[in-house]
This record gives sequence, C-alpha cells and structure tokens, in this order.
Amino acid sequence: MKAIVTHTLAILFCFLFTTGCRKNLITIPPGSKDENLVNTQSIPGSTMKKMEGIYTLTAGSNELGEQFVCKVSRYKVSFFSNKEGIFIILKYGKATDGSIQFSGFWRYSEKKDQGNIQFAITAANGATDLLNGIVNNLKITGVNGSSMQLQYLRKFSDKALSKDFMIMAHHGVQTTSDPPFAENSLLNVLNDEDYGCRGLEFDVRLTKDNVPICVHDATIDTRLTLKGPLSGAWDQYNFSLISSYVTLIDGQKVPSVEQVLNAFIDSTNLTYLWLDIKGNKDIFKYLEPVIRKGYARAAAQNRIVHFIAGMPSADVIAEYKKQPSYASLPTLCEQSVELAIENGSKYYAPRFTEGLVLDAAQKAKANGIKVLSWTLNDKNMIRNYLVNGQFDGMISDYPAYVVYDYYTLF
Amino acid sequence: MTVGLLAVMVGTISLHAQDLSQTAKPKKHRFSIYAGLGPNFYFNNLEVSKQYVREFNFAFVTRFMWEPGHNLSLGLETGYNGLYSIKENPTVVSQVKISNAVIPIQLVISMKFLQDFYGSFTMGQSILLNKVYTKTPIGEQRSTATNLSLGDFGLAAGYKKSISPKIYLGAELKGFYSSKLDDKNLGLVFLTGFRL
Repeated sequence: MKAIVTHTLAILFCFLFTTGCRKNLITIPPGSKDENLVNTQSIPGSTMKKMEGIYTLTAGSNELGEQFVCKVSRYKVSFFSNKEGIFIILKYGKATDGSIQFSGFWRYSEKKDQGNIQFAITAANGATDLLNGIVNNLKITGVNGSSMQLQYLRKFSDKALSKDFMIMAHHGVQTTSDPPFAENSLLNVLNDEDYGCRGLEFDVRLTKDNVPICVHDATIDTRLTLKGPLSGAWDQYNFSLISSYVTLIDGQKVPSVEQVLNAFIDSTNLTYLWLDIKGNKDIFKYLEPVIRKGYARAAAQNRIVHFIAGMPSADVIAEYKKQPSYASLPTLCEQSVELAIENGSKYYAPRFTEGLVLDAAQKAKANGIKVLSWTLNDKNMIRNYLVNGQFDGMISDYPAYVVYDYYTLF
Repeated sequence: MTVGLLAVMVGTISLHAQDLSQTAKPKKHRFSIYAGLGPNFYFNNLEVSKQYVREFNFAFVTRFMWEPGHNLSLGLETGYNGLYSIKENPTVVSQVKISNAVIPIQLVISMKFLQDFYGSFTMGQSILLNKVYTKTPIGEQRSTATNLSLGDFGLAAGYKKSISPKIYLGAELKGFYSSKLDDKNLGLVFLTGFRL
C-alpha cells in the first residue's frame, strides 16, 4: 500500500513537473489577400464612424452569430457577435463601382478558431448614403464565400453613448487564450482598439538603470519571452541589454513605458491606460517624468488621454507617498474605496471576486471616483456586473463579450 | 515527458531496492565525500542569440553521501555546473560576454547495479547565475544576476573503483535538467571519493 502511494506521488510529481508551466502561445490573426481592396480608395474614419450600431443577420449562415455590434476604430471596422464572443475585424476601401469593400478576419474570443472574411456594401445597399454621412437601410453582404447579410438595425442608445464606459484589455487582448500578440506589447497598443477596447491595462517595472518598462512577471521567463541568454529579475539588467537580448514570444521587444505612451498617443484613438505598478523602489520618481512627457505629447496633438498609475498594494502606496509631486497625476487604488479617497485616487478598482461592491461604488461616486472591476472573463459574470453593478468600466481578457453586452443591454 | 518517465523509472528502481534492503542482513553504514570535475555539453535550445552560444563548458561536483552498506545510498550534492557562454561584438567598438551557470543544491539517491557500477538521481533546487560583461565606448560594466530554479533534476550512470580502503576513483556521465529556463546539459565528471 505504501509503495502504491509513493509511486502515485512520484507520477503526480512528474506530471506536474512536466506540465506545470505553459508557454503563453500566440495565434497570429490570419493574413488576408484583400483582393477586393485592390484599387480601392481610402475612406475617412469619421465617415465610417456613422455605420456604428446594432446589426442583425437577415440572410445566410448564422455560424458567426445573429446579432452584432459594429464599432469603428481609427483604421478598421469591427463587428462583435452575440455568439461565443466571436468578432470580425475588417479593413475597408471605396471601390470604383461606388461600393465599400471590406476584408479581414473573424475569430472566437476563447478559441483559436479563426478565418478570413470579406464583405461589401453596394451603392444601392447604402454605400452612397454612408459616404454622404447618412445611414439608411444599410446592408452589408458577404463576398467570396462569406454567405451572410447583415442589416443595420439601430444606432447605439443615448444611454450607452453618454456613459463613457471604459472597456479595457488586460495586458492586451485574449492573454489567457491563444493571444494574437504578446502581452504588454506595442502590437497590443496598436491593435486593441480594433478588438473593441477604449483602454489598456499594462504592468510596469523598473530596469537596473531605472527605465520604466511594461512587463508582468518579476523575472525573465519562457512564459512570456523566447529563450535567451538573460535570466533573473528585470531590475538586474539595463534597458539596452534587455532590448538586445530579450525577445517576447511573438518576436517583439519589451517596450519601455515611453514607447507605449508614444504609440498610444500617436497611432490610436485609445483614451485610458492603466499602468499597474509592480513596486520597484522609487518607481514613481522615474515614472513621473515619463508620464508628464506623455501628457505634453498628447496635448500637442489635442488628444485627451488618461494615464492612470495603479496601486495594487500597501507597498506601492508607500512608494507613491515618497513622490508627493505625483499627486497631481491620476492614480487608481485597488485595495479599498477608503484608501482611494485618502490617497486622492481618481479610480477605485476592486477585484471581481469582491462582488458588485454596491456600497463602496456609491461612496466612490459620491467622492468623484470612478469604479472599475477587474479581471472579468466569464461572459455571464460580465453581463451580471453590467446589469446589476455601478461600474464605470471593466478589465477583461475578452473585451468582445463586454462590447457586445454593453451596447446591446443599454 | 520522457524525462519525467525516466525519473519515475529511477524512482521505482530505487524504491524496490529499498524494499529488498529491508530483508537483507544489516551492514555497517558509512559516510563518504566525493569531488569531481569534467567537461560538459549544453543542448543549445536558445531562440535568441543561438548562433553565438558556446556549448562546451565544465562542471564541478561535490557530494556528501550516506552509504548504509546496502545497494542504495542517499546524499546531498552541490557544485558549479557551467551551462553555456556567449561572446558577441554587436558593433565594432562594443563587446558583450554572457555566461550562464547553475549551482545545484540537490538530494541524491544512488544505487549500485553491479560491483562497481551505479546509477544516481538528483533532484531539488538550483541557483542560476547569469554573468554579464559589457564593454562600450562609455565604459565597462560587469553584473551577476541570480535566479532560483525549484524543480531541477539529474540522472547519472557511473563507475567507481576503490583504490585503497578509504579512496575511490571513478567517472560518471550525467544529464542535468533545470526547469526554470528549460536548460539541459550532459557532462562527463571524473570523481574522487573519500570514505570518512
């Protein structure tokens, strides 16, 4: 009996040993040939923005869903389905026949199933009107095998548009299920708006030469990076060495906070960036000039942005208090609404396991503090928190769930 | 997974040996210390700077063993296990040298198979040492970063011969696996043992 128990434990140990740490596998979105976009003209994003709203399937296959939320980002049009967090991201252009052509991919939120898709709005189906700023009986039809037709149903409600709801990606999109990009990376900054986000939550650590960088884990490991010659804690190396010898699992480099802010400001319409501070000594001293520089850059481009320093623990709050000049910049407190008030934080972010926190949310709002819940990945819980909570935003690995529910429920 | 199964097999053999030893006639136990040195080869699985890796290095091993007079003996092992080094000149005026090594602190289970042959399994944690030297026009920098790897193990097959009542000489072929960064190497260690 003793031998059986010992053998079982040995086998269990070996199983855990060999399967315990899984690499964060990347599933790159499928490349499309975009044949239907050849010789098309670009259309301003402000024109396409008019097509935002709720669409319903009127013909063809319901494989990708039956009702969709359409959102327009800086360069793409995205549809978010009622079915299993499926979303469609499309490039677009105006064809010579007056139609608007779309090409891109569809994908599940929690599965790596994905594929190419092409759509068109013919001149008769509303393209001419849309290009003139009118949305009237708009129909979008699949081409080249995408046998489905969507019809514009209604615009987003005034309630949904007036709420300034923060839908934010957790280190990036789909980071717990075959993500398209390495977490905390520049490609997430550049693309997450297409995935329905208004903001991002990234993690911040310091290097040995005190450069704030965006990375989650405390040490260089093969979960997030390709195997390279450096190992150990990030703050044991200078940023130049990290840039030369550390590569993220999708081939990108670890970005500095400054690089993230520049991409965020220059190349996206994103508004919110939650920088989750991981607690290096004097981190606020080195972060503050970078953040102030970012605000100056955004102001020069008339961009309204919010760079929010997240304080997840008492240690980080203690570091924050060592840098009094940081108090004029926005911070977020995770621990309690009382600490958020005490530290002058503009945001309070309870973990989802704390529930709806109705009393705390009310107290926060009475003090002008916005409330965010993190990290909500279960679609039923997302719906429950949207309907019954008083949150101003949500962090999720699967923003497609939040986008669909938010714009259809309100 | 193959490595895991090998670990189970060695563990199983060791456990059987323990069961058998319970019925054997008790013998006088003793303690021994071993020290060894030898070359090793790193299985280069780097995905960054792979082409600059120097795979050959060396290992130094010390082992303290309790030998109860049966086939199975137990002990502790430490030492210095060089993994690999990198030397690169990113620009004409700069130079980077990186070396990686492991200091294992591990439990040893060793079992004699024939008169002078044995197999051993080591498991435990290791300290990973990452030494970096950079030289640029601005100046030189040296740094050593450390990291802890908790689930490391090694498998060895060896030969040892007693050349006097107190002294052994031997050699062993040892494979080592460090789980933290998926490092693997194979070393040939020449050992000297001293019976206390």
